[in-house]
Amino acid sequence: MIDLAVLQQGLAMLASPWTFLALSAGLAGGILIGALPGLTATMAVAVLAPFTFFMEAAIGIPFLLGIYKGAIYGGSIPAILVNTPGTAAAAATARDGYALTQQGKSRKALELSLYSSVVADFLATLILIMVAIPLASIAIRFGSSEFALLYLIALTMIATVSGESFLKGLIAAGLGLLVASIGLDPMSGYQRFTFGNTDLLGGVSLIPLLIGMFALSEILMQLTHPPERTHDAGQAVEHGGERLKWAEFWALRPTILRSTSLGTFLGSLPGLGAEIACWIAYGLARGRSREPEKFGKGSLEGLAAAESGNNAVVPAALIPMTVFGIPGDTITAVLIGALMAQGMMPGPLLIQQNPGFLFGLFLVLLVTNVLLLIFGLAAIRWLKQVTRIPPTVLYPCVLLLCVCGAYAVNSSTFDLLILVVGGGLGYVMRRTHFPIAPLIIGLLLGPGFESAVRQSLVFSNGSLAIFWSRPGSLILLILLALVIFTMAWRGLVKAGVIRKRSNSHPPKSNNT
Amino acid sequence: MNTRTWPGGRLIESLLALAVIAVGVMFLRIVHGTPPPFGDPRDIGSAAFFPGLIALLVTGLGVVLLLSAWRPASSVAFESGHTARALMAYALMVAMVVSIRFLGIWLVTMLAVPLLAMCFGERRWYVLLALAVVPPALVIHLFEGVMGVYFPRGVVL
Repeated sequence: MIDLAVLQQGLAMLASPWTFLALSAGLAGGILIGALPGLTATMAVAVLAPFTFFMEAAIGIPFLLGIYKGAIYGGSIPAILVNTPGTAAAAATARDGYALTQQGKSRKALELSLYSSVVADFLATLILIMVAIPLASIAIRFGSSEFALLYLIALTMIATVSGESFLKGLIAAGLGLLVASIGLDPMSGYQRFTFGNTDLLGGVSLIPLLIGMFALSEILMQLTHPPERTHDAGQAVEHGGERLKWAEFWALRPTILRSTSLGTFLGSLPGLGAEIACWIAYGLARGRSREPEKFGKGSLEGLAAAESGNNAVVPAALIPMTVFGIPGDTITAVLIGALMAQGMMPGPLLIQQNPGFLFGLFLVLLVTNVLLLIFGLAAIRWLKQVTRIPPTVLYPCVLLLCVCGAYAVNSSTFDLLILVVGGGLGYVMRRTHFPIAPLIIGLLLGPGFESAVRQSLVFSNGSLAIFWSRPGSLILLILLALVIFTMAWRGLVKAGVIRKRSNSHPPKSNNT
Repeated sequence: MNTRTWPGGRLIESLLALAVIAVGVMFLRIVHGTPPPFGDPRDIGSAAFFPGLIALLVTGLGVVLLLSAWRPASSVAFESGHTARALMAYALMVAMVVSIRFLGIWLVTMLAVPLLAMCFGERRWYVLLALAVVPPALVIHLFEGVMGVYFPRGVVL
C-alpha cells in the first residue's frame, strides 16, 4: 500500500529548487571532473563529500549522486576525443570511440555515448526502484545471524574481485575490520585501541581517510607514473562529422538492453564496479555481434555496449546500499559515509525510517537522466577544452580541496593527520597492487559485522549452529559457499588449471 | 607507461608481509595484554573477542603472503617509477598538515600549492605566483564565507 505522505514528501524533495540546483551543479561538476584524465569518480565524490555536511540530506545526497553519474559519463568524452579515458570506467569506450573520431565521426560517437548512457541509466534506475522496496521488506526480517552472513558474503566478494590477488584482498579487508575496531566498542562501550586519544573515541574519521586514500594517493601516483602524452592525444582529430541517425540508434537496442541488464546485475553485486562491467559488456557484445571484426575499429555496437554497461552500474550499485547498507563499490562507500554524517543509516532501516527521503531520491535519480541528456549535449559541444588543463595546475588545486575538505568534517587538525596517513597507505597499497576497496568496505562494515557476529553468538551461547538453524541464514550460508566456490573456480581459471575462452580484456586498474 | 619492473619486487612483497604481520601481532599483543584491557578475548561477549579474532586472521594471512612471495613459481612484480618525486610530495603534504596549526592555513596553502606544482614540473614564476594566490583565496573564502568552517590562523596569518 502506497503511503500518500511518503509520496508527498518524495515529490516535495524533487520539487525543491535547492535539490534541483544541487543536482544540476553535481552533474555539471561530475561531467567536468570525469572529463579530466586522472581525476576519478571516487576521488571526486570523496573530495566533495564534506561540502554536503553543511546541506540538508535532501540537497547534499542528490549533489553527490549527480557527481557520481556525471563523472562516469564524463569519462567517455576524452576517451572518444583524445583516446585518454577520463575514468577507468571509460577505458572500453576509448577503443571504438576514438576509432570513430579518427574516421571524422566524433560527433556521432559522442552522441551515441550519451544516449546509450542515458538509456542504460534510466532502465537501471527503474530496476532499482522495482527491486529495492521488495528486497528491503525481506531484509527487515533479517536477524543478526543473517546480517553477519550477508556482511561476510559482501566482504568475501569484494576481497576476491577487486584486485589481482585474493590473498591481498582478504588482508586488506582484515585490516579494514581492524581499523574499524578502533574507538568505542559498539556493544559494551569499552574504549579500544585509542591510546588515551579522545580524537579516536569515535573511531577513525571515515571521510578524511577516504579522501586520503583516493585523492592524495592519486596525486602521488600521478607523480610516480606521469601519463605519457601519446601522439594521438597531442594532435586530436577535428571534432565534428555527421550526427547519429535515429535508425542507427534504434538498431542498437538489443546491444544496449543486453549491456544494461549485464551492468545492472554486475553493479548490484558488491565489489564489481563500472570499470569491470564496461569490459564484460564489451566482450559480450563482440561475442554476440554479426560484425565482430569491426570491434576496436569504430564499431557503434562496441561503443554502445561499453557505455551502457558502465552507466547501468551506477543505479544498480545503490541496490545493496539502500537494501542492506552494503556498499556496491567504493563510490557508494563514500555515499554511505555521507549519509551517516547526515544521521541516516543506509539499509532496511533507511526505508523504514525515511521512506519519503528514499522515494524522493529515486525520483531524483530518474530526473537526473533528463538533466544528464541536457548537460551531456552541452558538454559534447564545449568540454573538449577541459582535457587541456595541465596537471601542474590541476593536482595542486586538488590537494588544496583535500586539506580543506578533510578539515571541514570535524574542524579538527587530527583529521588532517588521518588524511595524510590515508594518502600514504593508499599510495603504498596501489604501488604494491593491494586493492583499496576491501579495506574501505571492511572499515565501513566493521561495526555492523562485529555487532552481528557477537549478538548471534551471545544469543546461541557460543554455538555456531545459529548460522544455519534459521531458513534465511541457511540460504545465505549456501550463497556464501557458492560465492567461495565461484571464486575458487575463477582462481583456477586464472591460474591456467582450467581453460576458458575469453573475449574481453580485463582492466588493469580497479579505480573508477 | 614508461616504467619497468623492478627486480626487488619479491623483497618488497616480503617487507609488506612483515608489516602486515607486525600490525596483526601488535593488535594481538594489546588484546592479550596483562590484564586484558578489553576483557577476555575468548569470551564472545567481551570487547576483545572480535578484534582478537581478526588480528589472528590478519597475522595468519600475513604469514601466507610472506611464504607465497618466496615460492619458486611466484611472479612478484613491482613497477618502478618516479618514487623520489612522490616521496618528496608526500613529505610536503606531511609538513603542510603538521605545520598548519602553527603557520596557519593561508601561509601553508600559499606555500604548499605552488611547491606541489613544482613537483609536477611547473617552473614558470607567474603560474606559480597565480597558484599561490588564486586557489587558496577562492577555496578558503568558499569554506569560511559560505560553509562557516574556520581554519587555524597560526602565528603568522
